[in-house]
Amino acid sequence: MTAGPAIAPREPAAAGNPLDDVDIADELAVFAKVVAHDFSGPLQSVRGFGNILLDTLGGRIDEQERGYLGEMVVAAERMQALNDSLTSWVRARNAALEVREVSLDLIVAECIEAFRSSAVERGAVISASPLPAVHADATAIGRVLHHLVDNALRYTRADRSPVIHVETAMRGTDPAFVVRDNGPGIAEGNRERAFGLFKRLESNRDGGSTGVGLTISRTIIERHGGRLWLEAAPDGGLEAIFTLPAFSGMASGAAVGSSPVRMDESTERRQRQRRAALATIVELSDEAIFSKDLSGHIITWNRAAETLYGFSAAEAEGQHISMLMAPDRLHELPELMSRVRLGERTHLETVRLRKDGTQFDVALTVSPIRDPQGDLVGASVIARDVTERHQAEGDLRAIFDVAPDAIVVISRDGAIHAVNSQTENAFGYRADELIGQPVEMLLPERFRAEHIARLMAFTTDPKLRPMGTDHELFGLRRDGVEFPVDIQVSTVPTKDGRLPVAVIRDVTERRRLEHLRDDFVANAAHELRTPLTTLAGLGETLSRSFDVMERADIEEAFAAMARQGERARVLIANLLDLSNIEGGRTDFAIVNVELLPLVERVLEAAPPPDDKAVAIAVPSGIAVRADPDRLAQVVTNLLVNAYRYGGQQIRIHAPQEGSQVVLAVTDDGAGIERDLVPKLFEPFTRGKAASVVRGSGIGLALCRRIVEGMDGQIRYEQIVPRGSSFRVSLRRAT
Amino acid sequence: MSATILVVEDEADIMLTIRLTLRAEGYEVMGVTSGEAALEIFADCPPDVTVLDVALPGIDGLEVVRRLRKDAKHRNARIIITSAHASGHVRLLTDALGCEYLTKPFSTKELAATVAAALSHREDAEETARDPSALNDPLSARAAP
Repeated sequence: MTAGPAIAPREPAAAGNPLDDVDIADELAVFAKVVAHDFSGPLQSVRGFGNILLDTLGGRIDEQERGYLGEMVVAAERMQALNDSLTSWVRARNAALEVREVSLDLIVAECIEAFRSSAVERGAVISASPLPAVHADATAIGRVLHHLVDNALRYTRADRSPVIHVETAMRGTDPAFVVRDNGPGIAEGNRERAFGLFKRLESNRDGGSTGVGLTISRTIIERHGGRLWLEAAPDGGLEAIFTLPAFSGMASGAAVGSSPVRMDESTERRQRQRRAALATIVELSDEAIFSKDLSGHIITWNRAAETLYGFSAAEAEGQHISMLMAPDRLHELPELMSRVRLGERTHLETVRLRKDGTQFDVALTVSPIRDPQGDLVGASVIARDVTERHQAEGDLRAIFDVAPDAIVVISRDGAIHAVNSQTENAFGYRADELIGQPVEMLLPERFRAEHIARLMAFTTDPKLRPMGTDHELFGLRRDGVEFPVDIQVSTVPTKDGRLPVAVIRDVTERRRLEHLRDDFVANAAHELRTPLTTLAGLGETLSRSFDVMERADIEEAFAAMARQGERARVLIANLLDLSNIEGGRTDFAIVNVELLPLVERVLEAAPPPDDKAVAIAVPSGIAVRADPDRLAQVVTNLLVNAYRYGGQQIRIHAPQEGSQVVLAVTDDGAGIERDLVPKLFEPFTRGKAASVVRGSGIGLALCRRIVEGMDGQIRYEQIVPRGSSFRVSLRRAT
Repeated sequence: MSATILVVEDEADIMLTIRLTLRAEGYEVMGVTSGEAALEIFADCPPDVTVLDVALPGIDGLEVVRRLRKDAKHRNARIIITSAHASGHVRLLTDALGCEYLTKPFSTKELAATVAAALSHREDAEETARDPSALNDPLSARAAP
């Protein structure tokens, strides 16, 4: 209606006429109001005097004259009807709406009752499906339904009985009310024109309509924040369809109020615009928003709610909210509703059901809804799908938990706020035993004071800082065992602000390796000490005292120097070998190697001392995958060990062990001391026997590295009743 | 008569080195490889100076010294401790037990000088401790209870 041209001056609206208490901005409406008001009196006069003339002149004028006069009165009545329509349109535009919850069922029933006789007269059937309650002005909506049904009864087809049906339906995503007839319909291009003032349709033969019904209806529906339009019915008839925001949204629920307060029209218009905007915002929101009454029945249901829960608005509205809840969550409802009744807003993360029965994680915000008098009438619910967030949180939690370090988040008061799985593993507590406890429980007593001091310093200067830079730190397990740790302290942002977080690394293994390395260096130095003492010492003595020394002593000195020089050479060569193999700098030239010739060659190069005997029991033709020089080095080492520490009878043999070929060096000596066996292949492990006859201390360690470098294994077996056996397993030759 | 030196050392070539060096210096050298053997030598025929390794199988060098110091006869025995462990506590114990100290590896020149110094200290000590009644018997101080 706002499209109307400015066809009247504004002055009359401000000229103190009886309607000027209504502030109308719309010029057409101003015109209509003025016309309706100013024409009313003259028309009354024309019709009234016309009727008086008909009565008084009845016998004095002829039939034709009486006909003319009659036409005049009818025309005046017709004009009066038009004027009444105009008035009712203006009223439809401007009158205060009394919006409250009304039963559409009841309004439709009253409407059908009102048309009963004319329906019977025309052989028409008027029916309605069950309709929900809406928030609307009952009288105004009654007029809309009256006009729509009236139109449907007026525009009918001669070839069939009128059938009129009122129902709710979906139009796109909008729930709507439909008044459907089986009349001639309106061509698509003309449908919108039907809403123009006084647009009467061709088939309206009976003259009972002023052509303002659709205009008034649309005005009323739009004032409710809804829309009214026409569509073709499936069977060619017409559908008059309207939406009410009270149905598809909730904004108008808080509308003009239950007491008919006549409002300033511009205020009402602003409110109307605001409500319409709110309704649109709610409807188009990406958040699922719905409302429920105090008994828990769903009142409104927006598009996002449809998407989230899978129920259409038509399916959801009127249903009880419990249909969205898994049975094990129903207990939440009384609590939620009682908080609504207390006027409290509730945030809740829980699980809800979709139409298809699947569950999803949801964050709910439940807020009370009050009517303008402040009475609680229901609750709005904003539902957010947090499955993905939970998934993301779950992913982060998983990362948190697979972190190799213990991570402890500390609250401001020094209590443990959160821990990861590694914290539980490292310290032997369950998370629930740690959270809320003072973080010092994870530290040995002697570090606690320092830790508190550092934490205090940290809160004033929160930079990433390692703890215990000046000494080793230890963690305290639940069982009282201490273990060496590195601690890095940082902060993380949380919903409680930035909190200190300690990343605690168990450095037991690193310390062990460090000690191993230190021991290795110390051992290597120690091993070199005797050769160097001998070489330097005897050299010095010889040079200083050669002339006074007996010949036998001189010879003995040179022999010792040669021996210790060789020992130092072997030690250094072996250390280099070991280092190269461990550093991956040694290439093994793996080929097929026949064992017997190799063993014979080794024995020839390293023959047994006079008091020992070596027997070779390796069948010819057995071959392995190996680097022949490296394998010879291993066999030599094992053989020399046997010469030094083993028994008198030494045997080199090749027992069959499955798919592997084993080369064994076995003696009948005292065997290896039991407590040495686990460390036998580590550098600088040596038994008592070695204090008399010393090797380099790393021969077996080197053997293991070489054998493993050729994809084999070396192991030691105690022989019962006496003896040692070193067994090298290698892949069979291809 | 040349002085008698006892060498207690379990590593054969170190023993050899010490023995050949001290023989070249003109000393009589006795060698044993354990603490127990060293204590037996002291019981039978106490040496003038002892070169004693700390790390020995069985009772170690420091324990040998402690036992000797409990015996009044050997309270003033001149002992040179040799050790590869230059750690402070061995050094402190050595001082507390009234011993000289040599860190392995040592030079044989250093060894010879230390032994010579120990022998002269022994003589000084005997001078100051000498009982007037033993003036004419220099060996009595060593044998006295």
